[in-house]
Amino acid sequence: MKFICKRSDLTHGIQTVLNAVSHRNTLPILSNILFELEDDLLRLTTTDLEVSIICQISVQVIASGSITIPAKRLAEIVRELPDSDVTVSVSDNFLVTLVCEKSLFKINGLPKDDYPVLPKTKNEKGFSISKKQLHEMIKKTIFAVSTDETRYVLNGVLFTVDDDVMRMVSTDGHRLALIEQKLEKIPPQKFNYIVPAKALQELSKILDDEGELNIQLNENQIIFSNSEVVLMSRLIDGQFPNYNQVIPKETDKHINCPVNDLLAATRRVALMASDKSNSVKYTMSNNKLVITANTPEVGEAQEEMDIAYTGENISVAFNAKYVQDVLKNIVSADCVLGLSTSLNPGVFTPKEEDKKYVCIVMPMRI
Amino acid sequence: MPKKRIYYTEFRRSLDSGSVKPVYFFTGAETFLKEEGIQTIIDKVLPPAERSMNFESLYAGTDVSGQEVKERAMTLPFIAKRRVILVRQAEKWRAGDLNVLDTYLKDPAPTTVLIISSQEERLKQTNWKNFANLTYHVECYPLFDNQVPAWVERRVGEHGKRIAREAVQLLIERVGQTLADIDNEINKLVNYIGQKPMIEAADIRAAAGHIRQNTMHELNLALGRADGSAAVRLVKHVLDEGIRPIQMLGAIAWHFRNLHSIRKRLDGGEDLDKIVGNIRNPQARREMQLQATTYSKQAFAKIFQELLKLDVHLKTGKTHWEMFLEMTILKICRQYTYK
Repeated sequence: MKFICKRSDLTHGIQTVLNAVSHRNTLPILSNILFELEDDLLRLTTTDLEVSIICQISVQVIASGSITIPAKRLAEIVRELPDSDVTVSVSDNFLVTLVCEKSLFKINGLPKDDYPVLPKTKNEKGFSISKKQLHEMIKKTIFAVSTDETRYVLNGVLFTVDDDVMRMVSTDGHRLALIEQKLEKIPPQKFNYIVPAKALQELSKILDDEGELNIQLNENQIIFSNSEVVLMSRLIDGQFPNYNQVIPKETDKHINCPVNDLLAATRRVALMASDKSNSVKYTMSNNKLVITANTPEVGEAQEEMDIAYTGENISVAFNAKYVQDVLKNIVSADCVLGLSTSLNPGVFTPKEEDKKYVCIVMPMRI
Repeated sequence: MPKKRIYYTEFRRSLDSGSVKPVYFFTGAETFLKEEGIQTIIDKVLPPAERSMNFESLYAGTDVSGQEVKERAMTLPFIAKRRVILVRQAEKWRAGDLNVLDTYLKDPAPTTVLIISSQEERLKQTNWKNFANLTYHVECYPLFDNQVPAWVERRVGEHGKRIAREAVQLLIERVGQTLADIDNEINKLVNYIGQKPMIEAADIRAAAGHIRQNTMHELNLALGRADGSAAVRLVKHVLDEGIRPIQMLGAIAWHFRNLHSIRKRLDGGEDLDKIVGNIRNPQARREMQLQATTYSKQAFAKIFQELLKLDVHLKTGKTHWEMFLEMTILKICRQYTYK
């Protein structure tokens, strides 16, 4: 096996697949990158047996073949190489030689035979979505995914496609985020699957915002692909909770707030709440919002804001971190906080956005 | 909040009567009872449909600090009456975590059931004692010997079957008194007997495993109670477990030294309850109270002489040591006791 490529292309390929490298010691070969040469393409593959990433880059092939190379060491070497052509060759005893200008590295590889075989992608019908849209949907839901491994169905984002509407929902039992997006083309089949958060995090890292991404299902795997990169992930098997129950059908108090001002004020006031319960109290009265936090042994904070609200007075306490997470993901200038009572869920929605985005935050006991 | 500890049976009675407390604190060595208690609370409080959103199982130290538990406990449940938060390995919490939680425990959220489970006993430390006093503290100690048969019968009954009295004794003899082990064997036996309504001794012989552990401890208990026939039977099990005769002798001598020391203090006029008062496990405490009065002060001198003879016998490589060992045990149990 021998090929020549640009250092920048090799770096790009390695960086793309690096995040799926497993750090578990049980299968040492999973800490390697699989290199395979086919036609004029070098295919780099990594997997941790849950998420797999494949990236293809153009190279000049001198002799075809395959090899697996320790990922971390290779990434460090290639990062330090001069910006020039790199020649990679593999000897019969799996010794990999990298030559770049006057630098020469020899690194022990392992044969491809021991590397797990990834499921072949069938030509199942999928659908396409703009990378930018998908990127935004992931960003707006992933923060609410549960990290509690015992609640495995909540460790992912529910991905549903019904007619021309794609919906993503996540919850950790304390808050819930839901976003809907219209698709340009109606997909040939309905989707209703839970995609692990890790897969979506990795996808976010490798997504640029140009062009489209194809989404396919293959048995219990979901496959995101474009011409250069393929990301495969197992799906989470289980029943996602009935999230529609959680979203209040209607709220009778609607508070209009400027997002950035509310976020900044919450962040400031929360400084006095951090040692207690991270609970920040919001009191709404005639066109005025008072945000307070109180830690008896430390002190208290209070901030007033002008808002558009003329309903009856109401006080509600939220975990400041949850409110900040929500507000950071609202792009419009203003948001609406819908409330019924101080014990019912708070419903945050952007005031002007063309897509449906709802965040539910459960209040805390005052 | 109760200021005293309660035992498992009392906790079950309280729960069965419909009383659900806002904070439970499970301690004690009987893991099976702890897990059963925790599961019973969850089943009682949360219907399965509400669990994915309102049940959290966390590990103290690695997963969550006291602060995080407090934040989660103060959040109202998602479309349910109550939220259940289970925190295991609470012994990993530091004083700071306990202090944060103390403020919550003084005024817990009525919409949350917080279950805290600890593997280690740290209740001698003041902060843990204060912490426990603010919770509904359930102590899950191993059942007393006389409670295990009833527990077996109840457990078998939960499968819709009955078990013969002889079969209960045989099961305990083979499996030991660890409830998790007994429960596994009961599950196996229930499958084995199929449609038959009762588990007989023959079923135990045919299907139950011989997995009894800790027989050295039980041998010492049998010797302490001067129960010669049980002790001789247990000697065989101890040897089957791979314990060498000389190791066995060392463990027996250690046990008698402990009993001798209690006996001396007792004869010196100290109160027995006070002597054994620092043993926290009530079963172990009761056992020591019983054993300390089995042998007289003079008897201990003779017992140590017998053990010395056995030691010489074992170390000089004389044959028939098994018989000598059994005879020594029978002699100790039958000649030197008040019985």
